[in-house]
Amino acid sequence: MDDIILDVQDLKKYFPIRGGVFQHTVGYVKAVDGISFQLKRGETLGIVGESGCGKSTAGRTILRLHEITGGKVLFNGKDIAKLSKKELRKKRLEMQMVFQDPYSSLNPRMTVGQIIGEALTDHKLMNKTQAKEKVQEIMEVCGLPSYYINRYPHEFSGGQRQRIGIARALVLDPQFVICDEPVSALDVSIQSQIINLLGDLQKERNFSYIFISHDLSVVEYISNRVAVMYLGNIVELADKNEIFDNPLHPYTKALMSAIPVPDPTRKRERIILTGDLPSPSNPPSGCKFRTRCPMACEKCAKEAPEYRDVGGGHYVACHLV
Amino acid sequence: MEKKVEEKVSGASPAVPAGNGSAAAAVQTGKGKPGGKGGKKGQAMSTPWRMAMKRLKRNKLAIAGLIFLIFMILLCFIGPLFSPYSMNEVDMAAAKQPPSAEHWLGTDDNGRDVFTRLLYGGQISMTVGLAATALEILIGAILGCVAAYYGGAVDFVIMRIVDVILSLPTMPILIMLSAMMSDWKVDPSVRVYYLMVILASLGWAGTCRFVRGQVLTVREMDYMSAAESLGIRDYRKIFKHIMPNVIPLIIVMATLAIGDTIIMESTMSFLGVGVLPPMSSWGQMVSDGNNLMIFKLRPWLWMPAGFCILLTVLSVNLVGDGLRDALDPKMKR
Repeated sequence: MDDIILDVQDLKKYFPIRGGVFQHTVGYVKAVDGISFQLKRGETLGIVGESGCGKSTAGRTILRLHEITGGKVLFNGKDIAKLSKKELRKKRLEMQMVFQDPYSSLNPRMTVGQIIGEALTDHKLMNKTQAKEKVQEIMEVCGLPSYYINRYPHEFSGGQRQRIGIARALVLDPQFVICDEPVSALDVSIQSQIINLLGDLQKERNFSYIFISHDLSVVEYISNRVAVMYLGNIVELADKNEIFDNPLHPYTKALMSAIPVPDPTRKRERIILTGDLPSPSNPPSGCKFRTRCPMACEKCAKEAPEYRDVGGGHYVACHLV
Repeated sequence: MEKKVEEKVSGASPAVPAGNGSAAAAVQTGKGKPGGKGGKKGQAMSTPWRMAMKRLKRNKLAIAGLIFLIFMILLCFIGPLFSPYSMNEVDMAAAKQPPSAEHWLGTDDNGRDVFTRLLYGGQISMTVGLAATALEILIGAILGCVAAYYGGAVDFVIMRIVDVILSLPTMPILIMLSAMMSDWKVDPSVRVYYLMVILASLGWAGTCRFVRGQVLTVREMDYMSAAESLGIRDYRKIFKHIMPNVIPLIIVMATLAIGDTIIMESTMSFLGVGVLPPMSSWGQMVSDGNNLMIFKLRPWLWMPAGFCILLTVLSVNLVGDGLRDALDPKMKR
């Protein structure tokens, strides 16, 4: 199993809720409540789910941008949760992130060259001249003319800014990159450019992606496997084709039925979920989805369903499967 | 086409526009001559600081304010050198004169030249305003950064101190402290320095709260997460990421605060608890108007000082507003 570079085991991230006069902890928001998956070298794992289900938090927690509450994140066999600050700083070179908002993710007071090359010089990987060459090289790779190196972010469009963000992540030659909704802030025409760029880069450099998105068609296009999250848990994880053709969890089924089909003659069976996402600080007992599940039964309220393999690497957490 | 739009907007209200226009123009000129030296020249024109200066230059009110301020400073600091009179020269023979060729604004009851005292008063008022504000911003900015960056107990303690200071009624405290200084017979020329320290120590709290808020905002930006995920060192995060994004706002705040401090000093001097004779200050000169006879019959004793305060503070505020619009277009009202 050498080709597994990331093994997430029962990862948890709880945010304390502070209240009262002395700001003591009165409860927790269970943003990520025990998720497990493995990421192979060169593969793309899509994570989908509605707003507030914890997919971004999961991504940030894996990179330890949030402190990990519980569980393990094994990166090439080493637990990221247990690294000291110094070790973590070195490890960060190998795992990177592309952010959702191309505007707030670039420091407006640094040039593109500084933004992309900062880590190279700050980690003393190379001297300034070498760093500049490397930055220009990666800019060209990401579709940015290298003479833009001394420009400031405000001089670029959203799509170009996202390319800068990608260049910043890739300049260190990371082993895996977490893309946190990298295209949701862009126009549809620019989206496809960026997605193709991400795909091409992966083919060239053979790293892995965790691709977080709420856009199912984007995830279907780019991913090898897809995980569906609901309220801090993964409810279903399978190969892309498997999950799109044969969804097992009622929530996944509802999601899939919502994908628009460009064919007016085809009749779709639309599963419409009622109710709102429950609060992650006070989730329902048993199966968290039961309050909105069209097939919920008594057992669902009592026991939390086990997240298990139902064959062929198709994981699902539901009593009815 | 684009130029037309820009002109139109800047004509209507010079403070507001510029942001989009200049950014677009900058990109265009840059694109016009890519590569080589041409490209380099193009980019040099649009660093955030240069863009801000460009926007400031387009703001006619702010430039007018700036010119007036420079004029005032030169007048007050260099003017007295050419005056045949000194601040405290008493000439009883020449007392109570109306404005004339020798005494442009006449003389006061002690025969001192009012115009010369006005200039020295300006020196003191502006120095107090500037120094007290500088001190205030220094304390406020450092404590604000510390509170926001370390958070937790440090933050809690600093912010509670700020709360206490902000809930103190400033004026009564200033009057009390001043009465204490008079009781201790502090020399008037030393008293000016105490006054700066007192004004600063009561004024830093607002700055502290503001700076803390700004640092917290910047700390939550995605580019800070990006810096974290790149493993950038802490000191670089503070000095290359947080500071450059907070300093422009501190500059704006400081400029506007200078106006407030000048007013504060003038108020205190007017009430007779700020700068005391024989030192002179604008507020103190205005207080001569308290005397009904002077108020009615000799307006040249107090009116010029009043106008100096008004115009100087107005200019400071215009410059501050202009700087705010120039440095942070997002903060527009």
